[in-house]
Amino acid sequence: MEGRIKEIFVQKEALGYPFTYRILERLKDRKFHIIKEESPFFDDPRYKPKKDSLYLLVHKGSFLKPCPGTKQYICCRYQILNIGINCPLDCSYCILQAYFNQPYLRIFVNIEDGLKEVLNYIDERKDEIFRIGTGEFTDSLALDPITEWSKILIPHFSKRKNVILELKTKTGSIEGAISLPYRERIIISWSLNSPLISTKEEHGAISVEKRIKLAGICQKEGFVVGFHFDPLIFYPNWKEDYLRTIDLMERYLDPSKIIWISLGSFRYMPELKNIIIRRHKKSVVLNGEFIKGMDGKMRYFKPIRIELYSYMYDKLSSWYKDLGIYLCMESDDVWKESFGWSPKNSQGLKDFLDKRVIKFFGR
Amino acid sequence: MIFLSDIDVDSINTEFTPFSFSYGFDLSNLTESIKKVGLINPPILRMQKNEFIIVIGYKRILALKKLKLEKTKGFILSEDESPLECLLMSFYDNLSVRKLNEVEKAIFLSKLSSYIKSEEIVERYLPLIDLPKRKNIYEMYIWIESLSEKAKKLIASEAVSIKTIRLMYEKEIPLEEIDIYIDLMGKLSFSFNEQIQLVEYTNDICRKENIKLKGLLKKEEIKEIIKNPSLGKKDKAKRLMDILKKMNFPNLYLAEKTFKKMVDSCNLPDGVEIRVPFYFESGYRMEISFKNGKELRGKLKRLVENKELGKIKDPWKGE
Ligand code: SF4
Repeated sequence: MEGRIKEIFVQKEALGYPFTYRILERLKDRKFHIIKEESPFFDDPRYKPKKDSLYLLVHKGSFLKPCPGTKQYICCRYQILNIGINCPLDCSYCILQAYFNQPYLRIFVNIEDGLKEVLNYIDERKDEIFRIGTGEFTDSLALDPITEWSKILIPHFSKRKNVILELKTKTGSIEGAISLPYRERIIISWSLNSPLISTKEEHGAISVEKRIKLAGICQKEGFVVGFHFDPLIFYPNWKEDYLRTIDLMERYLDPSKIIWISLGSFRYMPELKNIIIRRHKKSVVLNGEFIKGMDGKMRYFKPIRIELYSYMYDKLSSWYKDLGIYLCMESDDVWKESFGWSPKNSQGLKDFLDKRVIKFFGR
Repeated sequence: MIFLSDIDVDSINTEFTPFSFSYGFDLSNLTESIKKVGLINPPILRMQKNEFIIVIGYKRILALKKLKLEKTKGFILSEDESPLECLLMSFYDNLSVRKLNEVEKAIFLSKLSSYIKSEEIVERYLPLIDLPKRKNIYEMYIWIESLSEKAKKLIASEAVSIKTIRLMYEKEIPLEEIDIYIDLMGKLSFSFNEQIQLVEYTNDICRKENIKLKGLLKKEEIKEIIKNPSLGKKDKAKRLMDILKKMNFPNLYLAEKTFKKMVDSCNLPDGVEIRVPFYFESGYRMEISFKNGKELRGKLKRLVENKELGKIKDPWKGE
């Protein structure tokens, strides 16, 4: 990953943080520019995301944010630790493409200060369980060789009793995490898909087989792992293809050390459609029956989603009964029709996942 | 410097018009008025290589030529007036009396782009023609200038909405396909919403089936609708949209039809309707209109006794 970075932009204010110098030191042969103001506003949807440039900047807002779920669908009440925005990978379906006014791989250099605040917040709420992830606006580990985020974050989260940290990736950058002596309360997760979708749509990601093999290595190293089949894509032969991924899981993984597997069918903000059409001419992700959901996002017509989920649920459950399978942003009736049960609401799903945390890590 | 002079109408160039951006206009009122009271406002012209170039008054000169009038009064600008100043003079003159149509905006911006950097145009001139200060909007208008005359005519006359054109631009639809759409929109009568849906549906179907728009429109069921002499323009558009919806959303289409059948077989009392909000995403809704409690009770009683109502279910579920 380091090799792909060609240029670094450093916000003037970011020069006051040691994190900035550590990155500059690691990439000392790269061109870097100090910029006084926020990078220019890019409003042209034809912009290039500039995934070969880093932008080191100070994050002004709060570092911990609840996952932006909506009232209309059941949300797991995950919390996002916002360490940076944008990602060196280039998945055709990635929502980040719609934020076209924010190019470059943006890394927040005040993460260490932000982390203190976040940890204080968590420590003040000992009765609550926090499931926290960094992989919402970027891949959690793709930039780890440069940022060493895992080294900054893991020791703090591993020590605490009321939190887990989930590092979600489609890459093989796990050395940083594995080299540390911490395993407690750290979950390394992979986004999975069918091998075909992964090859055609997840540009820059490692193959599904490699992801699963690495997850097996992590399990052997003592980590609890998780998986996210998100986005599930409906296309001809999807059943056979997804089954191939499940077969690989059966071959390389110990199912009793999987904390959860989420399923989410492809959904997108309407603005993303034309961006995908323009940027990924051969993509198949839009080739379905999409309707506007109650949250304003486009999603597959309900019976198609139910077909996707029930198939995946049956196949995964017939491998192992207790995989903590859950749905991401779905309604009560879709849960019931796909799984035969429902957590009823967001609190119910939070309770279900918190219990998984207690089961794997205790309290 | 500017002075008033008598001018031969023939010496005014109406082919080379670097400062004019009038488009899609009708000269009949103007010619009538000139016939009755003569030309009240003399045009402003600029001398260039022994002929006059129109700065302000393009339509007036066309009207004079149409009326075969040989002489007119006109203000002559000195040659030190720069082309940019002339263009802006024409622009502000137009702006003071009317709004530009979308094609005129495109022509003006395109002409302005020869003299001024795009950033300045976006900042200063887009708001003056009621456009947001965005570079992609500016670029879209420059692209509109490159469309065929047929397309520009329909845009200028607002027969095709600017939203539809924007959608085509965002999808990077090739110019030859835009002409096919324009042709279709000229032949059939679509509402603005249908125009957008037409582009969305056809573009989606072509992408899914990996065919070109031309190929899609050659499909028998589509050809039949377009050519059917017994259908009016509006009916053709409606039927075409229905077929495209069926091709694009086969499951949703079937679900809607099946659900409608279920509801129809309930034979609901007048003023009672069952609705499907959000494409079956949320529960169904029943709406009952009534004038008083007695009528409501009567309708509720009939509904409770209606056995068919108990059979209503998600249309994709089997027996
Ligand atoms: S890995 Fe995630 S964040 Fe990165 S491009 Fe793919 S979807 Fe976007």
